[in-house]
Amino acid sequence: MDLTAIGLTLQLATATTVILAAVGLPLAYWLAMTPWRGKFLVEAVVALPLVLPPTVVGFYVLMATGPYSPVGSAYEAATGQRLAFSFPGILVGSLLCNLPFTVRPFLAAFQSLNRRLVEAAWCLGESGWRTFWRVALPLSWPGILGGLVLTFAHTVGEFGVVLMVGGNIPGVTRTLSNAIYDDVEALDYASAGRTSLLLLVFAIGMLSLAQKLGQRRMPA
Amino acid sequence: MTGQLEATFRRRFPAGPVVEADLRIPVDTFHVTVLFGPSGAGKSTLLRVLAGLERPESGTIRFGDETWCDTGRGIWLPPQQRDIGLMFQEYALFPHLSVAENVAFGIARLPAPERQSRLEEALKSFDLTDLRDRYPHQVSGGQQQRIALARTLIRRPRLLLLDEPLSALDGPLRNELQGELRRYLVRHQVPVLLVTHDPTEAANLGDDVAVMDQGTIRQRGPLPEVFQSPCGVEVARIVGMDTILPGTVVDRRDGRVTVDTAGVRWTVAAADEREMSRNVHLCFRAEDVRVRKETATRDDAENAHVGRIERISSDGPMTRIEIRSSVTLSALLTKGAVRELSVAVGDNVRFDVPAAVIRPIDRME
Repeated sequence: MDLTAIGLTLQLATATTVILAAVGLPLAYWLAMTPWRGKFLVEAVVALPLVLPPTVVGFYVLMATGPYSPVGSAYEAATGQRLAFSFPGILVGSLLCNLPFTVRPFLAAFQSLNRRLVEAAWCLGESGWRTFWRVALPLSWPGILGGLVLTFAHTVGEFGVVLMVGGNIPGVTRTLSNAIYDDVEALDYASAGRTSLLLLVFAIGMLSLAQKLGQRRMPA
Repeated sequence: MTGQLEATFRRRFPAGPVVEADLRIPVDTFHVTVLFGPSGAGKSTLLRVLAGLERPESGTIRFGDETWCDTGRGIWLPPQQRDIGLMFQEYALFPHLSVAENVAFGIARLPAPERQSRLEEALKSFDLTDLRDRYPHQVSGGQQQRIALARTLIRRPRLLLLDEPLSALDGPLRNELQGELRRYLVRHQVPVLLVTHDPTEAANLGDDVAVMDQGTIRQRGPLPEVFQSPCGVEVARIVGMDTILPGTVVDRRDGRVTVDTAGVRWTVAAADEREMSRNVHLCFRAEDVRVRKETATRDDAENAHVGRIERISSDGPMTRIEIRSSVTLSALLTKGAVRELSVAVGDNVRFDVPAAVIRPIDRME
């Protein structure tokens, strides 16, 4: 089995999960609390990667991160490195593809939160931010943990966007699912089978965990 | 501070009445104002707007010399900056926090020694010391109410808003806790605006009352006065005048007015009999109607008539009897009194209503 690919995959999944947690929590909380009528537009954009083929997302990310695009050239000017076909490049693609897998469970968790509790905290003088930390987060953590698990698991299995943006460079952008593709191309079915089994067992484990967390309820 | 909360605003909803509030309550002394009306009248909405949880479409809210809301000038103060307390109907205790943590929730940013002493004081004052390490789902409904009250009052709010404070409790407990709640409020000397649809609750807890119906405040004033002298037929119905009969004045003399309602004649007391208009509604409460057997000896009871029993139904601890002569009215009797009467549907009975309890209301036509 390709240990470099495992290491890289875990690295990508961890970075994606951490960054999406930081972005997704405030976004989901805002979506759950805002009385703004146009919020369905934001929800639609967040859900877009669910229905869009990862290759389409990958294509646009590739275009955006290329050395001749504004983003790509700015990144190159700032860091002296190329964004396309690099680890930061596949991270950007992975973040976009996984946004719904993070935000939607978070949103479900915040929406099932009793709104009166949030309002009670406001009336007791607590700001929106402190209410989030003291009331919303502790009461929604099972759903939030479920969302993080799902994001992590989905990133581990991500294929299309990584291939499009990162190519398949060992040690740089070659993740486990890409390694399977390579093995099959090279007719090494034994290696592909081992990696596939590993990913299958991992996925079942993670989904069971996410499911279990989703069922968990705080005492009412 | 001039010591008054003044709210004049409008809030519309896709379903339900347009709430058009016009309210003035004193906030510099201890005083319980009851916002009273049927469910769906917009009482809770009014409270939520005052707390800052709901924005009115137009209007102003002033608290003393502070402006909380002025839609014309784009002023809106969030709940955190109003420095008042709101207790929700279902108490909204934080399920993940212990009783002590719930009570101290709103004083987290005070210096630790003061926080501790205020917490101990509040736990003691609300008899919660023994429960401090329990969680909300481990205590009774009455205890939950005390926790919610303690959590709000520990911040020493300038005004306390109570949304149906007893409705989450069971019947017998509810009556028992009315007295207790009033004692806590008196002890803390905080001005209160309390929402309820229960007339006994209103009568036992309030000093003043504002009667709300279909989004509008119809009448306000000292509680006994409003309950005895409603200004209109809707208010009369809301404050529990069970019988409302349209009639015409046929005679006026010596502080007494005679009114005819579909052939039944009533004597009504009037402060100035000349002031009463010709067309009136006569209103009275079912508990003020006396019912006797038809064969009972005639005495000089005022407004005594004979009618037939149309319906007998149970009304809480009492029994309600509907009586029909040429008008229909209802009487409220104790179960014992009904047994003593030993009458059934279809029997004739003699009923009378003292002139002093009949409230005439001008009828616009």
